Amino acid sequence: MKKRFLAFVMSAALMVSVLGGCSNSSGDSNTGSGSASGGDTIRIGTSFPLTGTLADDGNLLLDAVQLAVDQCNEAGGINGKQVEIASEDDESSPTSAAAIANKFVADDSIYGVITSYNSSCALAQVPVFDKSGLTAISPVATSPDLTGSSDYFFRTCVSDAYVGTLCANMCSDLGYKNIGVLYENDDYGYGLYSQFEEQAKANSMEIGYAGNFVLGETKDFNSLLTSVKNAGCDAIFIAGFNTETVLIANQKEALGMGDIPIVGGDGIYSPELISEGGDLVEGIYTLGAFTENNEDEVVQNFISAYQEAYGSVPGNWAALAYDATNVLLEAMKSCGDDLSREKINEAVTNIDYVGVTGENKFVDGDVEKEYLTLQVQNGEFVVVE
Amino acid sequence: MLLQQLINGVTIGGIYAMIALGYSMVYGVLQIVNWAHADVMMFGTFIGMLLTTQLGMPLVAMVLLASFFTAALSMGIERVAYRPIKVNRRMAVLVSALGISTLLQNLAQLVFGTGTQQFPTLEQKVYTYGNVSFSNIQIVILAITAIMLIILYFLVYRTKMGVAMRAVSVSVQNAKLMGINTNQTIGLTFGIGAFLAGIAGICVGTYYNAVYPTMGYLLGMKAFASAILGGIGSIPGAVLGGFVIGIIESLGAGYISSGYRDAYAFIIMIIVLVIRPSGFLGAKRIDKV
Repeated sequence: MKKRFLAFVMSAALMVSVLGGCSNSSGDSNTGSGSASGGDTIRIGTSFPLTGTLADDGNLLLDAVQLAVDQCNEAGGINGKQVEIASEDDESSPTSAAAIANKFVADDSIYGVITSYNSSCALAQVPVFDKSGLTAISPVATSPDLTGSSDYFFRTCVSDAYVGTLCANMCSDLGYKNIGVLYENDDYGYGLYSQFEEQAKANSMEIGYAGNFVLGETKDFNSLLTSVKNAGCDAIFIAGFNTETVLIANQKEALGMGDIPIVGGDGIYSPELISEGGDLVEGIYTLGAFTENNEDEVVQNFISAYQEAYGSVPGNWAALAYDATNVLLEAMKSCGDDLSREKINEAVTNIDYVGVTGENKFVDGDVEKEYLTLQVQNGEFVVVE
Repeated sequence: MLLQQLINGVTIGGIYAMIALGYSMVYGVLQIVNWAHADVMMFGTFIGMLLTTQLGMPLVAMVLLASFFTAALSMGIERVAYRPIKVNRRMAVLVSALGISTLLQNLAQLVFGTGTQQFPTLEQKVYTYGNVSFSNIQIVILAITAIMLIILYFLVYRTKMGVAMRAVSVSVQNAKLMGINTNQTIGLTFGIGAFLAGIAGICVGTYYNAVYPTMGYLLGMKAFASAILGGIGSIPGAVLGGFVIGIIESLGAGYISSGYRDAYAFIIMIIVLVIRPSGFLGAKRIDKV
């Protein structure tokens, strides 16, 4: 009897909470559409990994987006309307990313999205944005599969098809003949690796060994490095990110491979590489679109504004995220009072915006920018010719 | 190549073994899986890292202090989160352990940050003989593993406390009737397991020169697999399981494909369990559920 009463109370509580949930959510969507038609704020969605292994990078990107939005709001907003960020955490998981995309397209107050650190997340989101005509710009998703994937998806970084080619050319310029490749076992790492391999063959270089690892999970690279050593490689190309690069650099020393240099894509070009790696990462080669050594006025203004806001020097990705946000904001400004998702998309498609990472002009959603060859020297990224 | 992969495997295997002991010993006395074990280890490693980088404490003092902290933390968790829940309600204790594990991971992310931090303890020196290289850190890890295992052996098989622990693992009720303070013995088991894990955590942190809040997850899974493989509840089994998993993982990653390195451990575990459900050295006992 007692049990039955308890069951009744609990099911009643469940009913109440479910019904309560319903009425709450319908209330929300009412206010949402109300503010979209007559309100004075424009909302931009962001979807970055804010927790987990890539949390540092995700928060870095969000900071840069916030800076661009704050500057826009200080300068009067978009035709008098203030801009607001709706931030979501995609946890680097394509499943969460797709759910977030669905949430954004269903919310009429959102006019554009700055999205996804991981290519796999962007690939999961693109079909959603494509179907409902919401413009999304990614600062750092570099998979070649994203090229021309949708009329509504753009990016301010170059595709891996381009980075992989550049890295292979860099290796051949540095005189390496036999490369050991360590690539991340996902869309990003494999995309970069396959383009690198293609160009390396064209440059008559050899890939002595290629092994993969799992982002955020693999911490022991001894087996892979032993294989690289065994294949007699004269350089290691890492198609991955900075955290893994530091681990690889450390374990490489312990295996007596100190004289084999590391070359990495723009994925490792981040201040964390040096702050986490210290002496271990000295001499590593990488490339990027942005460096604080650039004397250009626009770049220097961005650096000082970023430093004022967050107390640190912005990196490549912060700069790309800043440009991505500004592209979206500029496009919105050019729409005038007649703001709609379709109009914004048209404006972004035709935009030619020179930002802190160079010229942003989209062909099939992609940009082609000049990248600089960089080397870590005395704890700093230095441009090498 | 083979020798090099074996060296890599034995080093990581020793670390798995030390963590696996904690799972196995706690299972031995309480028949529960302490899911918070690996996260307690992570916390201890962070404390060790802070003692080194913030206070500049010498190595031996840091290792001891951090490991005692780890032991105290684990005993505290047992006191607060497991003991009040009746010991015979294993499922409830298991859920409580999962909760503590989540709590510790998130607390660490909040307090220490989500990123990977360096753990500079020993300056790395590399010795190369022909095709094979190993570092002083690997030697130290193996030496520490060996010393800890010998100490543990004496503790469990040559002291009164060890007798009490083994008695509790046979039957808590009967041990109580024999005048053994079972609560104290169970607490000590948690403490000793966590002490070993604390040392293992510092070894991992030093070996990879990296400490991060989610480090417990995969290490814990592998160590748990080691404990199961060796026969959970069995102390020599946990050690054997740890080394087997470490070596198989390194050889698999080196000779088959590196992409599945985390899978080899579990594939082997499944195969062994199908053939011999109680693990390599596990006692065959009938569990009444």
